[in-house]
Amino acid sequence: MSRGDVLAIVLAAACVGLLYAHLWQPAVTATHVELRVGGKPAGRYALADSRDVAVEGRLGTSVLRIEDGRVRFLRSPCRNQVCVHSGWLHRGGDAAACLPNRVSVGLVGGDALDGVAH
Amino acid sequence: MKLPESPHLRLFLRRLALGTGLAVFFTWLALRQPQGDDGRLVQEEFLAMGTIVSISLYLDTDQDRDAALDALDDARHDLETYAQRWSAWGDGALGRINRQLDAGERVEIPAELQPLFDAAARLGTASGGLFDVRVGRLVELWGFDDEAHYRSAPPDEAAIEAAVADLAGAPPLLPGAAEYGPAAGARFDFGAIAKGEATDRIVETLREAGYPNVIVNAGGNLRAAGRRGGRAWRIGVRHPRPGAQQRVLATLDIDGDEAVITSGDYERYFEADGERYHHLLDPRSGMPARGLQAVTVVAPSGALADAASTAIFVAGPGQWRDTARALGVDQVFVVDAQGRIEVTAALARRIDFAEGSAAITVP
Repeated sequence: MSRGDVLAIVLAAACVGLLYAHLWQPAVTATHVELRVGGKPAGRYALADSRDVAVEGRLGTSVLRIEDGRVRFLRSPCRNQVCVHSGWLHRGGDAAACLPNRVSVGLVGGDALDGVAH
Repeated sequence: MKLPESPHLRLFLRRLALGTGLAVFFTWLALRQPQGDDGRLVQEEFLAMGTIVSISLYLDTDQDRDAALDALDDARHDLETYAQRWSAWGDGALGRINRQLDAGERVEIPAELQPLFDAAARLGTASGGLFDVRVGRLVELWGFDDEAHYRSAPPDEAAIEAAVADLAGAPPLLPGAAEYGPAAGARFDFGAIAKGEATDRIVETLREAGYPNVIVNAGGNLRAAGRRGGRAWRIGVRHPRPGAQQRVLATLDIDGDEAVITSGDYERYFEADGERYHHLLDPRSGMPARGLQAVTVVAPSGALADAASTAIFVAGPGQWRDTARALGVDQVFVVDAQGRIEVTAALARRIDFAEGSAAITVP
């Protein structure tokens, strides 16, 4: 390896590191779950209120469970059950989907308020 | 530093250095603050005008944190001068005017006070007298001027009636006036407009200093300009009767240049015989205004939002909409004594009420 090669490798590594630091965002706790069927909004629920939500997809009914500030697919009429196995979601930006049933969930919110008027 | 002779040791040290560097880097990534602000939010908090004032700036990428802190210090000093000027009981310009009025003299309104006197006179006229900066004697009688010595019972009825009659007999404050009085019954108290105007001044000063993205919180009077980086400033409005679950009644985004100011019966009050006596006094009766728990106004300026929220609160459940219209504010919501919410159509479009709170939209 010549000095030029070493320099190129070091620079490339530095670039990757900087990009990673710039783009990688630590997780924030979400406040709401947004539900979509076939890509269209189908409801928005606060994660603070525990409940089960049933949603009609292409194949049948998917059931979501909201509990302790998190959400998961409880049941879904798909064969592979990937959605159910993806487990609990609780971070802003987290998402899960039952592609066969066309049902997806995304977690939003979690940014604190910048001020409260009183 | 001289490297050791042994090539094995040198290789080991090199790998050790690389490994340690990577470990430090990933630890730093994992522990970073979750806001994603990258240190671009600069905040200062201090006491002024009898309340906590907090100012936050969102810096541009090329702006320096220390320079921003200096700008915040300047804003703080400016605010201290302003607070002294407008203190009804202190040794500033307004305090002097009040002492002259007490002595039965005619007073000259100094040039630096005239713009806000003018604004107060106009808003007073437009509100049909529901907003009135001449109520200093009533405020004093109720003891709401002194946080440390709240009363435990309302003042004597005869004293209230006398103060109301004196106020009614005092000459009106006219827009553009450079003089006022003599008026034995009047004492100026700008408490329902000066805090709002102070937030306007802070935003203006900081904008001129090169900081267009600002949020000011002066004791719950909010004024925002610009944005918080990639998103709007996000504002909550306090629930007038908060529970364990529900502290915030509503949220809205401020993108641009606006004030959000709430007047509520929970801010300064005492209770006697199961009755709540709060600081929002009706100048016509001399009593705390009844019928509403809270009024929130969103308006382009803090001075307007501050005065309007007071006048609309005093107007009460039947009259609030007309008073808002007369003052030229169209983004308002009120919470009545039963906790019911009424919101203007212009505000309903952009505000989110907490789950379980039903709001009636009025035209």
